Amino acid sequence: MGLDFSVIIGGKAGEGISSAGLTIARIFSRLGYYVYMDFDHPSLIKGGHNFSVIRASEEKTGSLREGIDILIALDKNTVNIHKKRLKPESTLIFDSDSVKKVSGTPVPAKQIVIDSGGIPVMINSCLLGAFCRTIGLERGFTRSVIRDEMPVKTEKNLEIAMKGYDYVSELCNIPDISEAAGRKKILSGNEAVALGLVYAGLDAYISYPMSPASGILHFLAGNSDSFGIKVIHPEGEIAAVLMAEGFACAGRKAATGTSGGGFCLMTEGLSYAGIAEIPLVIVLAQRQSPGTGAPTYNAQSDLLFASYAGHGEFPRFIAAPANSMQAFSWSVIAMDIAWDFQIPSIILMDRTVCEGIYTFECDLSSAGEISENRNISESSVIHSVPKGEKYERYADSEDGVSPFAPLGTKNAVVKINGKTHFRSGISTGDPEMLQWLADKREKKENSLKSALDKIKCVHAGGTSDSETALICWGSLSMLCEEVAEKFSLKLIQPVVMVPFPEKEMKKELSGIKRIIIAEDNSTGQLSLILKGMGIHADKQILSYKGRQMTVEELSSKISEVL
Amino acid sequence: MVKNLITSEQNTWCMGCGNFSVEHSLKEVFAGMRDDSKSLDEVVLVAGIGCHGKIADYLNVNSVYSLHGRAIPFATGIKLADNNLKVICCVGDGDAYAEGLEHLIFAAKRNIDITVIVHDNRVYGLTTGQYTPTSPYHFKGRSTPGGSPERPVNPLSLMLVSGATYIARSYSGRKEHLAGIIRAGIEHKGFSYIEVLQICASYCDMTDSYEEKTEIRNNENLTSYSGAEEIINIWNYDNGKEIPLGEFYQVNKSAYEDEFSPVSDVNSGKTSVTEFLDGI
Ligand code: SF4
Repeated sequence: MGLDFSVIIGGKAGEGISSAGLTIARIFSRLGYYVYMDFDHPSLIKGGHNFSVIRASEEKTGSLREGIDILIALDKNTVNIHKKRLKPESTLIFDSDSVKKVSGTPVPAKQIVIDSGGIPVMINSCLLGAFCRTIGLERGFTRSVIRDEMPVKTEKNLEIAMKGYDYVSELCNIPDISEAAGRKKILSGNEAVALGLVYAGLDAYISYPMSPASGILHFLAGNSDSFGIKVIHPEGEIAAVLMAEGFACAGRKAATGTSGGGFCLMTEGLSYAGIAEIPLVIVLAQRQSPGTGAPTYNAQSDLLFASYAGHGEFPRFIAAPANSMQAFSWSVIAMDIAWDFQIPSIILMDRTVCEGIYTFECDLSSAGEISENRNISESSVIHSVPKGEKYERYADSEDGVSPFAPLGTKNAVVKINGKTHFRSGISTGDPEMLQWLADKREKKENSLKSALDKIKCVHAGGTSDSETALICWGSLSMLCEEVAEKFSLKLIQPVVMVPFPEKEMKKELSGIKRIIIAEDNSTGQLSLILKGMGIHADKQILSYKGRQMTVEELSSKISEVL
Repeated sequence: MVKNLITSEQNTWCMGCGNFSVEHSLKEVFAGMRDDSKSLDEVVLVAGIGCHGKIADYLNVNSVYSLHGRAIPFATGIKLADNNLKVICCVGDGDAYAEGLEHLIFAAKRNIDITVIVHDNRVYGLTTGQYTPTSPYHFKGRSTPGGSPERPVNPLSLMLVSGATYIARSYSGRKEHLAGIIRAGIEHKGFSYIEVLQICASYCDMTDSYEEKTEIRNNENLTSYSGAEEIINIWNYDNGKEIPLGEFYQVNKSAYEDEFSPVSDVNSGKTSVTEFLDGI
């Protein structure tokens, strides 16, 4: 086993804990390590307790360990809360102007900042400098990272960071493996979804802010010019989803993103997209609890809601990615599917995937390939109708997918309708048409299913010939995979949730005698779906405290049930 | 020529309904556009839900038969997606002033270049006669048999403060006037709001009152806010001796869709993502 190193930096909200954490993540990435970072913060702007946990490893990682190698404390609270995670050989680096009576590596950070004429938030730069020395980084490397990552008032930041660097001495030496392992890139799940959508040809992102999906809105708004897209923050979620549908009606690819509460409001538009056959992508970022819940904490509790949301019956596609790489690839696929089948696609994220920072090692051409190699009905958008020919928006077809002429197409009268309608798009209540339309929707669902049969919808890992399977979904996948390897279990993560890849799932389960299902919710929603297919959990591990389980926590739960 | 602007769908509006007048005015405006060799391919009619909404089925132009109160966000998305389209929203008073009110206010605030025609019959027709936001005080409807306890809103006043850049009112009993207003509203660059006092033959037949009280009275100086305010306040949707019709306000302001640069061509997404990832 190679290097496996964990760091926590903690302080009050407003003290720059997230960007300090990102800098640490970036340092390890540059050195060639795989990185995973979680930023834990209550829904507060100032005060409280914020912390970033960074795990760096020579192996792929997307989970956290209980033990911490270095704890960087900007305040006393950080020491009190996290000291139990320190091992005898661990190091505590702290601002000795704020934290008294503890042993470790004191740095008079506040005083250094005052003496250098800096601003209070630069305390984090000072401690970061000290951290870099502690782990044996060279001066030149440290300077270049701080310069790149702390771009505000760079020179002052650098000066303060290097004073922190010089104040302490080296305690260990983290080797630079970037030459052999390659310098890595990091991306949050939210950024990855955004990039995936842009890669798939997104023209507009329309979204009302809601944690933990807001990161997508902010990222795309900040890059709208270079991506060549329109980013709109409208009056609410209802407007967001319907504006996105307006874009689609005019032939432009649009997506929206929200969390459970906003998705509730969008269900009206979702059903509309179902009957009017409008391509639509919704990113649903799950967060903890019903109502306004715990907006900054994690849950996987909207799977059933997303699967059945909306009134009436209509086909939909749902994928639940586990990390930034899956988030990228499946956003591309979700957009393609929405347009190929003229249905709503939902990218079901959870807080951990949205805000988690993962090493992103994605061969873009192969991410595209997943979708380009599929053999689904070719995109059915048409841009011209011969003069004199009658265009019918809902014309019959073998796979249920009608040719879709955007509004404004020459020689076409395009009638889009959310009421039951004739093929022409004009309303009707005719019993045969009602039945025909329902059958058309079912035909589309069946053609979507056979298209999905041709791509990999289930991720498997761990020990492939094990007789015990650990099944999970979403952000739990990387944690479960690590633990599965440790216990020689097989890991199975369905990525596509609707239509559920039943055949592929059963194939992965052949030879399996025992099934453990782990989920971040209190009712076992995936277990319920699997039960409907005759797949029964022997044991369930349900975690619902809003924080992801650590490797040790899940391991001990697994040992209990094995 | 004019004939095929109407679909073959059988019309189910009640006899004498004011919707016919809006439909035929629109048909005339469209026919005029075609005579000016403007392509009707670029016209999109977005309707809400209610009796008025059937206009989407009856007029043979591109249409989105949308949701109750939601025509405006659909229209906004369409206009932002393709600036060449002429987007016209037909909405009802229950539709746009009740469930869809936030969208109406925001469309005015943004000054998006769409034309909103409110078929204001001051009653819910399709759901068989309940009060709406513009029903008179103490209106006896099926949900308020003792008389509505709410006073009506003056929607023109609301649109003026919200930022609409074209505000006019017409009446379904004056089809020529109505057609002229619709034409002007479509020609106006920016958010056009047209309030149509429309009679509902079955649940709120105000013919006598409208015939007696409506008076064409344009704002002499169309850009004058106070002049618009004055005319708009002559009638508060309840009592009053005179109901002014006409053009009340028109100013030029930059339109919402012009705030955005046009979207890039197909495939540029792949390039920009690759470039972004190379840079991190
Ligand atoms: S109920 Fe009123 S508005 Fe509806 S069609 Fe009949 S007359 Fe027209």
